[in-house]
Amino acid sequence: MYALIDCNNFYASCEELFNPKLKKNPLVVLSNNDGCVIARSKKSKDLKIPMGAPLFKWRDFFFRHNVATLSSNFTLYADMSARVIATLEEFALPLEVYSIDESFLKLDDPRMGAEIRQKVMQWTGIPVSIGIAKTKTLAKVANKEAKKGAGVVIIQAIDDHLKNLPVEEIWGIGGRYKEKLHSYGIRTALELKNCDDTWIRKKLTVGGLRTVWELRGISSIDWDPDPEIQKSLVYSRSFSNEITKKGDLHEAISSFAAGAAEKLRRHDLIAGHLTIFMNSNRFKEDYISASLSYTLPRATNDTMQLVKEANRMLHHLYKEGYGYKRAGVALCDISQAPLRQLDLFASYDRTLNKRSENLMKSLDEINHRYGRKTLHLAAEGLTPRWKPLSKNKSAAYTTDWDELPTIKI
Amino acid sequence: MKEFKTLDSKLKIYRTFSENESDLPLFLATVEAGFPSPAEDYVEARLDLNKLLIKHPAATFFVRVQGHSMRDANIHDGDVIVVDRALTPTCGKIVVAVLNGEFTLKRIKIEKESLFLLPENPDFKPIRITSEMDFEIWGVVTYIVHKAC
Repeated sequence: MYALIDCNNFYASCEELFNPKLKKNPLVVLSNNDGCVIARSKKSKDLKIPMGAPLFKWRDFFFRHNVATLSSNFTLYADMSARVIATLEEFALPLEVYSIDESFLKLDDPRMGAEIRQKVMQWTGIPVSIGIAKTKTLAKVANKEAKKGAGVVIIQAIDDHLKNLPVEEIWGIGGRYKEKLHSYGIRTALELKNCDDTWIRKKLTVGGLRTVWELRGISSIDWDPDPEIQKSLVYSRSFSNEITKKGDLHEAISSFAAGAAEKLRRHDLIAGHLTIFMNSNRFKEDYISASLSYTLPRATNDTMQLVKEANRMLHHLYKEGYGYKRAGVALCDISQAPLRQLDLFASYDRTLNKRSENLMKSLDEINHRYGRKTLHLAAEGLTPRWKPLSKNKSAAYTTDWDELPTIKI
Repeated sequence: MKEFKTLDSKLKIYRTFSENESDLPLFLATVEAGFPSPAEDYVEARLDLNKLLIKHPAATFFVRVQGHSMRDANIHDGDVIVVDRALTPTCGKIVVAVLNGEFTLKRIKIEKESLFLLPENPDFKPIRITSEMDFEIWGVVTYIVHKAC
């Protein structure tokens, strides 16, 4: 059987764990740049605040209803997620991490659900909901029900759980097939489950057929504890103020390229293709959006090379007179570093390559020991004007000795 | 590492890589005139404080304390305490708890179905926890890190 363990209001729960006073009022967590809502506590959901609500539109509402707003603190969330996963690993069951706050466990005894929920709550302070069923897709259905209050839901009589479930809420179906299915009179998961296989295959492709088999209790989705390496890596940010000067954009792009390079190295990957993109304010009349791509002569994860190429492209892309609101770099053609393919035409200087590898290693070690960005390229700027706003960020409670939770005793 | 001096002597520059790059394999133990070290077979890992202080890493948190109510339990103002959420809070243990939304640190005593939070300083009063109170235990204190000098 599969158990889907999903943290309840994950980001909000992380914040409330270290600041219990937050539980008294509704709470929302905001995206980078404090732009929009990316997490809501239960009280906020009860107020019907939607996911993605932009702050500038909802500010008054928040004020009137005493809704606390916090900037996102991904350092904290990443650490808490690792703790939840480590707690799940204690059960010595096959585990597949699906996202920052969701994991699948394979178990034989569905009664373990209650124990797992209790242990995660006790060890990490994060409340979770657990859905248990014969397949992953059904576990997702069970989990959705569990979130409504029960905490743990086990699906035994499948049809009972599918007869009132709208089709678009099935994992793997979603909004994109909603209209199509409705046009054939199929509105519930039960109705879909009972459709003919050939018809499903034709209308929803083979992926849709797999989903329907899963709804029937036949496990058809792969178990993937070691997922494929990602196909692309995007590093972009929106700017707190519009950027018009090329120099400021240069700093931002350098910073993003350096960040992307560091991410590659962390997973021992190299990229062969680099794209940079930027756009001005979407809500203004003279909106422009531009991008440029380049295939690197040799796949790399070297900060200096990536920054150099990114800035070369920036030089071609930048247009004066525009206020840029967002920019980023995207890497693709990603492969594993040890499996590098050599290019017949590119010159390969072995000593130079070893030196740059050593430099990157030292860079990463220093930043790991003293904090991210302790050491960075001058090109990234000393006091960048584009840095996103995080007006109300909580402390790095679990990763910084200077930011430990402090209690008065 | 080789150090370079700059004009104002305020900035120190270090080279990060060795000058003599070689592709020879590196032996992990030095070989003196062909005789291996007698201690080689007994080499063990260095002592790691984490192994001593942290039994359940996923459930262990560090908290800094300010105040004097637990002075007689050797928890002093400015100390860092190690809090383990995986342990069961039993009578006599020192715990971090949340009372009416505020963190507190006290020794717990369970007596005749009542729960008490006891300070360790005569200047402070015990607190009796009733079912109407908004109260929960956050974790059990396992170690206290106190700076000696």
